[in-house]
Amino acid sequence: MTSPVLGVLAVALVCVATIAIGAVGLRVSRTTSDFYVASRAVTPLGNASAIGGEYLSAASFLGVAGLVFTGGVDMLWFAVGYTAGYLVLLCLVAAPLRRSGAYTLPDFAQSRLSSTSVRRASALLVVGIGWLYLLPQMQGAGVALRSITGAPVAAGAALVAAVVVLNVVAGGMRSITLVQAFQYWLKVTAIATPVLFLVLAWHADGAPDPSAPGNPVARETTVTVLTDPVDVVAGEAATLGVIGTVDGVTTSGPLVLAAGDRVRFGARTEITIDAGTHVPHAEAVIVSEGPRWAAPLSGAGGREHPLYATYSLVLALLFGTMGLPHVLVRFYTNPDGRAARRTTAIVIGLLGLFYLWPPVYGALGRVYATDLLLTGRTDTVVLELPGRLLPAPWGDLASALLVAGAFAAFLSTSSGLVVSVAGVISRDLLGGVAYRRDWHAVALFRAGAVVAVLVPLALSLVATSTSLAGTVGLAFAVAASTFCPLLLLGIWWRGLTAPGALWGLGVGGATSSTAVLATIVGLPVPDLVAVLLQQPAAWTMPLAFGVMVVVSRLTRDRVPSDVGRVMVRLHTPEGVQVERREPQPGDDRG
Amino acid sequence: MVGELYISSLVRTQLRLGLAVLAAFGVTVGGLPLLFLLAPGLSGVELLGVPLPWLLLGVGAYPAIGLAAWAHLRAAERIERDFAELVERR
Repeated sequence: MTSPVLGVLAVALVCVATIAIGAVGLRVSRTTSDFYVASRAVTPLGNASAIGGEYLSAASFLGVAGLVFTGGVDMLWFAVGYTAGYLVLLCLVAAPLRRSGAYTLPDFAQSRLSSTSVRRASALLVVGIGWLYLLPQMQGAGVALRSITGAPVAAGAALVAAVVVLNVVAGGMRSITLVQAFQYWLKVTAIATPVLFLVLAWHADGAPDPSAPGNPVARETTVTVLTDPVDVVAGEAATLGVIGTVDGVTTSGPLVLAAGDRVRFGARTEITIDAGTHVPHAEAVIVSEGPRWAAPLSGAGGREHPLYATYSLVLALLFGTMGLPHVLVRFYTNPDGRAARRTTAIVIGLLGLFYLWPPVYGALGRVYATDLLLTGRTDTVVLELPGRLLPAPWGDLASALLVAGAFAAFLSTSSGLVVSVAGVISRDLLGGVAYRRDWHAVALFRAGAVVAVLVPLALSLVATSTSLAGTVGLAFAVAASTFCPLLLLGIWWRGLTAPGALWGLGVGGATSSTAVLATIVGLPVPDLVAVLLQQPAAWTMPLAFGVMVVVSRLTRDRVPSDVGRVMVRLHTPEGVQVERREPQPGDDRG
Repeated sequence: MVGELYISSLVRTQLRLGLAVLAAFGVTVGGLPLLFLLAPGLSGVELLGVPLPWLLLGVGAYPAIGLAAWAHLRAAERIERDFAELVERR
């Protein structure tokens, strides 16, 4: 267990640094255009660092390691997909999108299709996807703070919400750009440095094999005190020391479990697992035997139809990245299309540098942090390992560094999402009211930021905790089934019409979010249907594309009359003489 | 003003380039699940004590993605330079 003092100090430092850097930016951000896009004057490396900082969320910093810990090698696809999403962005979206001159996805929809209804539908989707993505950030913050201090989950979520609102409200995007760039480098340092020492310690320990046959066993005797009740399944026979309640009965002493036994431990129960004992696992976590865990497509972690699940996940991540609201808004801070492309290429390098490290934590967790399977808190494996493997002061220091990195992840991703969602809320959803009452645009943006934070904060308090990376995966699936076809067809196909886009967004959004909801609720369906709902992108994305193309073909007469001029603007390199006009913020407010 | 004909050809060239790079990525990195399915023996192959699938996905995929990105960046900028020359010569 980490020393709470160091951990709290680390969290406080990151929060204060975030606000302080934000305050520096505040002095230079004055106009509305500053607020939205930092005046588009950031260098490619600075911008790429900021994109990396913003993109590496709780799901990357904690979630990937947690998934590898339980699900094995197939889970590495999450990290590969998160990175390769930027390759798709580079190849098909980056430069034209920057040249479109739009600030947000709704702006793009309107300038390409001249349609307020497509604009409104896009605005709703941005807010929906943004909230779905903010939810696991808040949960991650709660889980991380609980793991270092034992504070209730709500405390960490509220802390992140407060710092983000303060920062966004104070400085807007300019300060965010600086903060994000700082946070990328903090995160890489935090995740990479401890790995070296952890691997050395693992070697010194005789390099025990994470994929050793059988179910995970406790390496050392561990004592766990539950904060919440947990339903537990024993994969193999095990004897635990229990002080507390078992199935509602007060118990003190050894508890003998046979393979397959299920019990419910009450809150505040103290469980001792002796070294060498098989660790029973929380019902919510599916654990696999060593060789199965290490082998690809083995269905480890309870994934049925692993080939389909893998491909559908990869599709969602590859094509969903472009549709994430906080990713797109970053492209407008590039001075031109060429810089946008270069920035994207640098981002790919920065992300690869980061994703080398989290899987190491996941693999070592199978040896040294098996008791996390009992509580089901596998997402905290990154934070737990240093304290167990490294000698006294170093373990605490490394843990503090990792907690700092984790909070940087929650803060940066949440800030980016809140800026985007707030922009859309203030311009598209509150815009009409503001126009009538003559509110100032900046005040409106601040109001939007508060709304953008409060809703997912409230959701994080009621939603039962699922895997961080899993929830984020669902946001990707919705984005891939809605904004991906809108962007790709909008950029590359003249034939797209407003009705086509509207129907595509509707069908893609409805099917993917129904699948998401059914998965979250846990609808009882046959295996094949369940996997289609868990990883919907492979069918919802082509469906959305199909609907967009077919409806556009049927409404051929509705192709915007200015499509030729829009295409020229999207694709002509800067410096070549063409008629080009960049929309200004507030220009197109309906 | 640039004629729409020139732009159409530029758009087609850039789209072809983007799709070609993605296709290359699709059959190499994207082909790994199929490869693992067809050659299950690969899981038993170890390099430096790490099973091959872990190395390919955990380390090898990133340089491959980076290489694809670099190739696309260079080609896309060349297409735009050629286009600019074409327009100016006109």
